[in-house]
Amino acid sequence: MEVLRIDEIRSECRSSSTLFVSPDPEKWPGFVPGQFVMVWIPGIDEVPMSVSYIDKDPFRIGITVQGIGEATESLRTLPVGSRIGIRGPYGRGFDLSGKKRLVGICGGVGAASIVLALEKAKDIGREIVVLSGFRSKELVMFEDRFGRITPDTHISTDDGSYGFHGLVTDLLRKELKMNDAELIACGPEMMMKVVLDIGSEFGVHSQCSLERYMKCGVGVCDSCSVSGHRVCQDGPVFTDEEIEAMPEFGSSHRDRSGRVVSLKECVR
Amino acid sequence: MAPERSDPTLDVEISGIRFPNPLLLASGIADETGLSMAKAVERGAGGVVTKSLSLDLREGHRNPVVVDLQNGMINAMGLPNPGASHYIREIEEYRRHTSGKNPIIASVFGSTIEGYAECARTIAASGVDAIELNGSCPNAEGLGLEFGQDPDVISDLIKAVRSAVSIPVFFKLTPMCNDIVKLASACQDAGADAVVAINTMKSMKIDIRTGRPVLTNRFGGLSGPAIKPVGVRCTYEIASRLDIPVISVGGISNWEDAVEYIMAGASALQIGTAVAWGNLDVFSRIRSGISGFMRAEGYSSLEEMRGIALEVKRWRS
Ligand SMILES: Cc1cc2nc3c(=O)[nH]c(=O)nc-3n(C[C@H](O)[C@H](O)[C@H](O)COP(=O)(O)OP(=O)(O)OC[C@H]3O[C@@H](n4cnc5c(N)ncnc54)[C@H](O)[C@@H]3O)c2cc1C
Ligand SMILES: Cc1cc2nc3c(=O)[nH]c(=O)nc-3n(C[C@H](O)[C@H](O)[C@H](O)COP(=O)(O)O)c2cc1C
Ligand code: FES
Repeated sequence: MEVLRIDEIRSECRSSSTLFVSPDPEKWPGFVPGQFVMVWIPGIDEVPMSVSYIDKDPFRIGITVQGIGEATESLRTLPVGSRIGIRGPYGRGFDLSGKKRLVGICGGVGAASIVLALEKAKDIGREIVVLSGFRSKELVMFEDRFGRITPDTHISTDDGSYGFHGLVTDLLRKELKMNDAELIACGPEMMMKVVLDIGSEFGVHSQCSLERYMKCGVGVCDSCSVSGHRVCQDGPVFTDEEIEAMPEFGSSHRDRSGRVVSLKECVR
Repeated sequence: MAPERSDPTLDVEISGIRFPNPLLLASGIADETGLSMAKAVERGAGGVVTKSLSLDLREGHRNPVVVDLQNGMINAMGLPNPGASHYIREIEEYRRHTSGKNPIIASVFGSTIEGYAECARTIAASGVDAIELNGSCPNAEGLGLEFGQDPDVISDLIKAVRSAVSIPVFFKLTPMCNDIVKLASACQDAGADAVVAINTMKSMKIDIRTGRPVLTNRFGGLSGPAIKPVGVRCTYEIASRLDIPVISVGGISNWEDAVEYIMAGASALQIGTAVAWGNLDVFSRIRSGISGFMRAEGYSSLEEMRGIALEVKRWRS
C-alpha cells in the first residue's frame, strides 16, 4: 500500500467528487480501465474504488467517490492534503480490443470506470456511443468528458429533469440493431441485468463490471464471491457468457459473514 | 489412454482418506462458498479445507483486514463465517459440483472446548471427510490460539472432538511456541489423525506517514513466502520425532517449495496466500512441476521422496 496526500479534489456533481493522488508509476504500466484500487481512509475503513482518471504527465490517478455511507462520505469530504492509502490496481478490466461499434452504458457513479474505458477505446480508434443514466439533473457527471469522446452521447434522467426522460436501458433498446455493436456496462446490478437481456435479444456481446463486498481485494478471502467467481480477482469485469453461468447474479450477494442475502435486502 | 509406466503417482492417503494429489486449498482461502471450493478442485486442487467455522455467525473485523507485503501478507480477517449450520449448504453445493474424489475437510473453532465439539458435530453431519481443529488463529482474541499453545488443553480438545464425531480429526498448530514437537506430541497422544502445520504468525504493520497501525485489529497473521522457512523447520522437527502425519502449509508458491516440504516429511500440503498472486492456477502449475521433478530425478511416488531430508542415508549425491 502507498499512503499518499490528496493532490486535488474536483466536484463532479451534487453527490460525487474526484480525488487525485500521485502513486508510483512503476506499479501502473499494465493498468487497464475497469480495474480498481482499495482505498484506505485511516481510522475509518478501506473500500474498493474504480479508477476514473489517468493523467500521464505528471502521472496521477483519480477516483470518483459517491457519498452513500460512512466510508464514502468521509472520503469525499476530506480536505486537499489529507492522506489516504492506495493498494492496486487490482482485478481484470474491460477488454477493448474488439472492432465493432462500442456502446458504453452506465448508471450513476458507474460512469467512473466507463468514461475512462471509453477514452482509451477512442485512442485506439473505435467508434463509440455513450448512454449515461442518472436519477436527476444534479447528479449528472462527466458530460464534458463524454462529449469530447463522441457527439453520440446521450444522457437520461429517471425524473426527466435533464436529457431523455426514462431509464438508460430504454435508450439502449432504441440504439441497438442486430449484431452491430459491443457493450460495456457499469451500474446497479438490476440495470446490468436488463442490459444483458437486451444485448442477448440483439445478438450483441456485453461486458459488465460487478460489485460485491470486498475485504482483501486480492482473491484470498472470498468475501466478494459470486457463484464461485471472485469479483476482485476474476473480475470485476465479466463477459455475458460468464455472467450467464452465475445464478447469483441479479439475485443474491453475501453479507460480511458470508451468508447469502437477497439483492433486494441490499442498501442500494 | 493408460498412463505411461514411468508416470509418477501423486495420490496420497491420510487416515483412510484418499486425495488424488497432495495439494489442498488452505483454510480461509477462497472457501466462502461451495462453488468457490469446487472451482479450486476444477483448477487442480486435490481437496479443500473450509474456512474456519463456529457455531454462531461472525462478521469478522472491519477493513482494512489485509496488508499486502512484498514477500507475504498479514491478515486479520477475524474468522468471519456464517455459522456451521448455515454453512452446510456450501458443503452440499461443493458435493454437487465435484466428482466425489476430492475430499473436503471442515475447519472448526470455538470459544470453549464444548463449543469446538458441538461445532464439529454440527458440520460432521453434512458428510465432510475430516475435521481440522483451528487451534492457531492469531487474530481473533479468545478463539483459536488460546486452545493451541498448551499441550493439556490441546489434549482435552482433541479428546472432546474425538468423542463427538466419528471421522478423522486433524489439529492445526501454531508456530508461535517454544517447542512445536511438544504440541504435536500432545495431538498424537490424544488420538489426532494428523497435524497441520503451520498457521500464520502474529505480526503487524505500522504506516510511517500517519504513524498508525494499518489493520483495524492492529495485529494480524503473517503468511506467504516470508514464513516458509519456519513451516519447513516445523514440519522437519515434527516428522523427525513423531509418527503422526504432517500436512504442511506456509508459503508454498511453486513446485520447489512443495518438494522441499515433502522432503522435510510432509504427507500433504495446503496452499493459501499464493492464490492471491498466482490465482487458482497455482494448483495445476505446482502439480505438474512436482511430476516433472519426480520424472527427472527418478522418483516414482511421493512416498519415495517423503522425508528424505530426515535421514542421512537417504540423502543423494
Ligand atoms: C470493484 C468496485 C468498484 C467500485 N467503484 C466505485 C467508484 O468508482 N465510486 C464509488 O463511489 N463507489 C464505488 N464502488 C462502491 C463503493 O466501494 C461502496 O459504495 C463503498 O464501499 C460504500 O462504503 P460506505 O461505508 O460509504 O457505505 P456503507 O453504508 O457501509 O454501505 C453502502 C453500500 O456499500 C457496500 N459496501 C460497503 N463496504 C464495501 C466494501 N468494502 N466493498 C464493496 N462494497 C461495500 C455495502 O454493501 C452497501 O451496499 C465500487 C465497488 C466495487 C466492488
Ligand atoms: C486471508 C487469510 C485467511 C485465513 N483464514 C484462516 C482460517 O479461517 N482458518 C485457519 O485455520 N487458517 C486461516 N488462514 C491461514 C492459512 O490457512 C495458512 O495456514 C497460512 O496462510 C499459511 O499458508 P500460506 O503461506 O500458503 O498462506 C488464513 C490465511 C489468510 C491469508
Ligand atoms: S475481496 Fe477477498 S477474495 Fe475478493
